[in-house]
Amino acid sequence: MGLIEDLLGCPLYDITRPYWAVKLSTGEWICEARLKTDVYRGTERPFDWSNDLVANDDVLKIIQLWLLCPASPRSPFGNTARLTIEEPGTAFQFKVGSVESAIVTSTKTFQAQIIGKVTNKETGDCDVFIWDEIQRGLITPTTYIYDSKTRSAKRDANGTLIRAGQTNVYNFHSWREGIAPLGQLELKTVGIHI
Amino acid sequence: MADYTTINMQYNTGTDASPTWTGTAIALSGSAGANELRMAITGGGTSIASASWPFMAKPVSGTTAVTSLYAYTADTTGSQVATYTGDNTKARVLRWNFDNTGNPVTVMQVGFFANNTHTAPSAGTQPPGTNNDAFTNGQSSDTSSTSYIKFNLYGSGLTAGGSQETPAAGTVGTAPTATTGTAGSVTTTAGNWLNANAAWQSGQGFTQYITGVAIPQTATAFNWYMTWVIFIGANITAGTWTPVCTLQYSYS
Repeated sequence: MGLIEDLLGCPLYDITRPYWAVKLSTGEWICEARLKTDVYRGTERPFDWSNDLVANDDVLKIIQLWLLCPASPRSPFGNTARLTIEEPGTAFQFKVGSVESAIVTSTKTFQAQIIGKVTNKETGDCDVFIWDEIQRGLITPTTYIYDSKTRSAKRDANGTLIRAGQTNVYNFHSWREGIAPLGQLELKTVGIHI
Repeated sequence: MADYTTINMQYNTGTDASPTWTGTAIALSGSAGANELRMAITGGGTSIASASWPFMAKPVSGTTAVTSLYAYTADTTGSQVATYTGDNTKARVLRWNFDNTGNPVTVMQVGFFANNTHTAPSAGTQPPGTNNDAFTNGQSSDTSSTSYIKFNLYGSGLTAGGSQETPAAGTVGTAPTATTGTAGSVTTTAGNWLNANAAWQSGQGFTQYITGVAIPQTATAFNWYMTWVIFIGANITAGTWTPVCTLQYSYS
């Protein structure tokens, strides 16, 4: 089996949701898709970013951060993204969800999963890969944001094209309509030490 | 901990001073008239099938507030949200209920959409287009192109330090009108209603919406209190509209 199949326990095209995976400086690989024994509850559960990487500071040992993405119309065999982490404490991962509850039946929706690394520790600038569940596609640091009003790539006040995968951990932007700007990340919770 | 196992909306069937929240959660994934909120001006009730729910008559001119709100757990089994009165006189009307399994990593945002495609409303456009609805679009002369739905949230529900924020009974801010609303996001005030107990916000997608003031503490159950006033107007497009109230959150 190859690396991806080892990490997932199945071929990439078999997964139905994205998973993060990391390689630590110790050489160990950890993947969200795999189970670990929870000694407190006596049960098995998937690896958890907060419990199994942030809480024990293993997040500082990450040298590679991957996002393993399911098959989609644009990538029928799935897709992978990899960030090489040169500086400890710059890697992060989180997800975005929504709940609808109102004048129609209520639903809970997984919107996106994001991996990233801080590229400028002073400003908080970061590069991210985003699996967008609604768009069923992988957004990279070079993807532009589409503006439905102008039907073209979105530009900032200076006329510069805005890249969906280049944002800031202190002011995380929206990358499409239907996602509100996320604002500042809770740095400790996502694993950032800058 | 990671995602919340349970997030739902609860409604008050008691009074403002003595609220009743027990057993009032709008459960997820309802169908066929179950697990939904319904609004009415006249003719609403607690045992009406969804297909027979009464129409609301538009005012001949101007706008008027919808005066009653009901929550249905099954097609013909409902309760009145007793403190929804179509004005700002009651504080404990609705609340988002979170269990203790989540670890939020950003502040939360709340807005209203036509449906769960989260298509941006087209401000002022009547009749609405695909994946838009008459309420969230609003209309130029009725609502100054803000939404017909006005809402308010109290603090962030739970502070970063883990303190539950619960409003006292009574008046909420300045009484909203059909034209109330601010472009973009309005951030809540810690331990208070929006704008330090002043103006409300319009619920128009994520172009007019509310952002929580703080990232709630991880692994802690809490309630985030919210209230609405829904208007209809002479220029709203008649039809069956089912807007949704959307809470966006992030977790690791």
